[in-house]
Amino acid sequence: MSDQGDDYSFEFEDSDENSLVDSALSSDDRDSENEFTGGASSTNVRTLPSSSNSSEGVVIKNSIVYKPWTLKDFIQKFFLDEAISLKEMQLPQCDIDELLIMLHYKNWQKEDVINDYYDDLERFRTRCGLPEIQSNKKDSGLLLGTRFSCLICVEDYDNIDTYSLSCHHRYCINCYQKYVDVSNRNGQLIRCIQSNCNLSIPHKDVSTLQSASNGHILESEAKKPVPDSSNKLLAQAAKNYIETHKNIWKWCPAPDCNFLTQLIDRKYEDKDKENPIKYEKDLDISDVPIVTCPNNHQFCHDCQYENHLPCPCWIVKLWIKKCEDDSETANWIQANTQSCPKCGTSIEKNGGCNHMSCFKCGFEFCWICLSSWKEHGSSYYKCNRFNPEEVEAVKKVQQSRRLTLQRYLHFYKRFAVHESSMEGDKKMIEKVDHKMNLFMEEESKKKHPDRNLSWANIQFLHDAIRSLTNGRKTLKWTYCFAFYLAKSNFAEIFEQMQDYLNKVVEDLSLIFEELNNKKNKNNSDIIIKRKKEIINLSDLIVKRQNLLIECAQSGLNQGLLYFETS
Amino acid sequence: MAALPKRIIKETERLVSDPVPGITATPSEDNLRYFHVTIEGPSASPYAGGLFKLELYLPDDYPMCAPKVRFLTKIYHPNIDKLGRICLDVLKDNWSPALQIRTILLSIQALLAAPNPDDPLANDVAEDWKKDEQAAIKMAQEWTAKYASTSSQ
Ligand SMILES: [Zn+2]
Ligand SMILES: [Zn+2]
Ligand SMILES: [Zn+2]
Ligand SMILES: [Zn+2]
Ligand SMILES: [Zn+2]
Ligand SMILES: [Zn+2]
Ligand SMILES: [Zn+2]
Repeated sequence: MSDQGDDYSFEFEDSDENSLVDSALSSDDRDSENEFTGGASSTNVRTLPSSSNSSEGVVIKNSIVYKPWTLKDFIQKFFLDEAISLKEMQLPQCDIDELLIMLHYKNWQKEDVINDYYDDLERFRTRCGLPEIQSNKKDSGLLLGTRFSCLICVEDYDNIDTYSLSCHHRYCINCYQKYVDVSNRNGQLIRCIQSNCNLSIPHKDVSTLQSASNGHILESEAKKPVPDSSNKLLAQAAKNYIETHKNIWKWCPAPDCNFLTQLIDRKYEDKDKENPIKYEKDLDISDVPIVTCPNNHQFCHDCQYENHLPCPCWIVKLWIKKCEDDSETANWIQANTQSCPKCGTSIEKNGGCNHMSCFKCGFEFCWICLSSWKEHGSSYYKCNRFNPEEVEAVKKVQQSRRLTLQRYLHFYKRFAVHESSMEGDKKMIEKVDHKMNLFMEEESKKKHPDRNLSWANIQFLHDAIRSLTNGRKTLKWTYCFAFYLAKSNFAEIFEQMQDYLNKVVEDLSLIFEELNNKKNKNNSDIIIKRKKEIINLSDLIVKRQNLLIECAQSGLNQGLLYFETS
Repeated sequence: MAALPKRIIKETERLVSDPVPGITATPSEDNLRYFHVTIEGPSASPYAGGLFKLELYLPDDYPMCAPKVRFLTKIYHPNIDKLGRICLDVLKDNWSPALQIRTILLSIQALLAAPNPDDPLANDVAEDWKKDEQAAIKMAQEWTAKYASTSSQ
């Protein structure tokens, strides 16, 4: 039975820890978090001080004013610079280490530090974990390379670095290093190892202690006069701060991207939109707060999700909920194999292109609808439509519930396929890129290299792939849009624009696939030859994408497009 | 499995050679970080006469992290919930690597002697405790007799 207990008995500890972190936040922070409805403006949201003073790097786009940040810049500006400004202005008698501890304790609110400082200095210092002003700092801090018996690890050392605060609770550097590593996880001030000793370890010392290995600290780390923006405790504290101010701060959702954006203001033409109830089903998609991180990732600051235009945020929420609920039924669609509609051979999709040909019988077909590619290609790209005649036929034989599911699956399949195509495109581009690099290397080894060819010459490939990916993203969301769209004449115009975009996206994808699939070595020649075509197509994608979004925007604004979301 | 740190070996040795009165802690044979613990109910408490079984586990980060401790015997106590989890500051944010297994077990024994309904984990028990302390104490005695009596074990 002990084994069993081992497994399940302690799983609740995590949530306990979370609530501890939570309760350490001041009530002010909670208030500002509750204000978040998407309509928050800078006047009623308590933000970090001085953030609005600097207009450098601020972006104003449609309804949103925002600023992109790196984590290091964030730490510099809102933690370190704040401590420096306190030192220069209000509290010159304190040193930077103490000011950082005070700021950390008061959740980086400078005004709160000044208030508590002048309210009751002794009490404030005690709570922060700072020693009494008169205390003797002699014999505290780091001691390098001495004989020492540590009471925590109960080891006797001949030559080891040790550390203590002014309380003289001295322990070995190995123990302190482990202790600081574990304690750093929650981003709170780290106190002395001794139980019931409240003294806080300065941020600078945390870095020094973390640098230790084999009983000795890294001396270059210990020599730093003040902590810098790479300090791990400050980084963890910054993450906590961002996590508890989600209304203002958002991490870029792209994988491996470490940028964040700060919401500075939301502006609305129509004041009524500040009313959250009206905002809830807002049809003005020019209000969707799409921001761009310095890595060129676009995302919605409200949903913290990729750019989902032309869909308004509330439609995105409905759709995501629906997809979660229906995922069981829809799962089969995502499978990456399909059998040839003619001979039944199983075919794997490997690129982003949806134009398939069976390697056994040679039948050319569309991955999405499985109909012959020839039928598609003729007048225009038909595959987007949910064919009403088909619907009529289905209706007669099947019940309406089944029809609803089919309708959903129709749109979901197209939504999901563009998602996986994005992955396919990415892989394909990596391959093309690799081949290009090899070619450029060979070219440079030649006695008379082609002078027309430089790295700048293939930059267009990267631009093209970005257009392709963004185009697919928009296309993907048009299927969510179309799922909720009520039938109307204007809806048909919208669908036509969707076809146009789909056509150029597939055309460009096709070129990349050809470049990749041709077995001959002269791929790079083909790339150069087709450069103009690739540039044209990628420009066309951007144009059609913008047209599509504008069409959706004006259609919704004029009431020509509307959603049915029963 | 990584070698057992000297600290854990020392603590275990002392727990066995110099046990705390009323408390036993025996490491499991197949996992030296897992301890079978018993605590006698303190006399002059509603838990007097009871013998309570607990499990104690030293996580990889011990002693930088607190040991994980849980009651296995059912107990009626405002700071111990249905799953046997214990609300005790030294097991949470007041943990210090300078504390030891024996100090933790002593704190738990002290918690049995002095329940603290103002900092409850089991809210319903704490409510009863505050509403009618006599009735709550009687209930705790009944549970002790029913689930923790030495004669029934
Ligand atoms: Zn040590
Ligand atoms: Zn201390
Ligand atoms: Zn990004
Ligand atoms: Zn959104
Ligand atoms: Zn076939
Ligand atoms: Zn193809
Ligand atoms: Zn099709």
